[in-house]
Amino acid sequence: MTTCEHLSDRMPDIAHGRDTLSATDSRHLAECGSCAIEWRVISAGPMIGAGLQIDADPIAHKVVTRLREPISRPTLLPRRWVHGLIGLAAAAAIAIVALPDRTAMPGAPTDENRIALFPELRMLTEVELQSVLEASDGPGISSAIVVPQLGDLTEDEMARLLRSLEG
Amino acid sequence: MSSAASVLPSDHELVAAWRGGDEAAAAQLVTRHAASLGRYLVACGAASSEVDDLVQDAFFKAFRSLPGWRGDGSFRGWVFRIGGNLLKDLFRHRKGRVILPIDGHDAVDRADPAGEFTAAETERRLEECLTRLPRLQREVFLLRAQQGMDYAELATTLGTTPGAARVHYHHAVKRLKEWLQ
Repeated sequence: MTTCEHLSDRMPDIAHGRDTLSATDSRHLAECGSCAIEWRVISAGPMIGAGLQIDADPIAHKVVTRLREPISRPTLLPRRWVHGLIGLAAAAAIAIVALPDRTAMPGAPTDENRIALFPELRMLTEVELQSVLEASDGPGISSAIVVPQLGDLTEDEMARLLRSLEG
Repeated sequence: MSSAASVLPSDHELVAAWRGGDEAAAAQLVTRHAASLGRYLVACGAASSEVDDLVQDAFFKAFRSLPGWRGDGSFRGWVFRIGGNLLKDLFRHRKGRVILPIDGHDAVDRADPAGEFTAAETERRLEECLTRLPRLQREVFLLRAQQGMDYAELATTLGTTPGAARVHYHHAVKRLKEWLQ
């Protein structure tokens, strides 16, 4: 590693007071124009935004106050889940009305026909689609649609859900 | 080690205390990191008028999301990551606004008759140049140079590898040097 690289790697730590410029470093900075300009950039780093006034105590108070509030479950559901569930419920409701007990009739609609009738069904996953199709075969559809609750999720599923919330 | 440093609880200790129901521990974590998070968010493009709310939301979400936090990085990195994501959501909501306001700095005469920049002038010009960096390079530079994170913490914060973070940092420094020269 050259003197330039060695010094460059240490500059942020020096700027933050966790390392110091040695006499050799100082001599190098006096002789090397590239390192001198880099040091000017990096040494200004800790000062970026230093003029910003943040009063942390009121923020801490507000955060703690909000944390006392019970977790509002509906807001924790990702939007895409809500949209998916609404779509699923809507498709199922349409299926109940449009396909009442036609499975026993001659020429009863096939699964493919039903999907063609409701293009939104094509957006569902295999499992969701199967669920809707099975539910539409009988009268017990309202009990066949299972809406997952947060309490039903495992620790791992909850962790993934929370990570998806964070983007 | 100073006696003051030895009695200050670490972030991980405070997180554990909060998990045990200690509200004061949560408040201490906020007061410890709120200002630096605010400075980081402003340098990333947040308006100073909205930074308090962003910081508050970031900490609130961080505490609420602690069950999903593996604890393999720093709490600071965790809350910075959430803050950064909130800011990105805000930009997306505003249809990709990327102009970075440099708050608290009035426009000044750029003339430099002495032929060299003062520290304040370098800082002001550096903030201007930061707005021209690609987002990831800007974030890496800020976390390293402004916040003093090492590459491991920085990589965890940004969801990348230490090697990639190092590359982004050196690209950012190279560009900033060229622009400031």
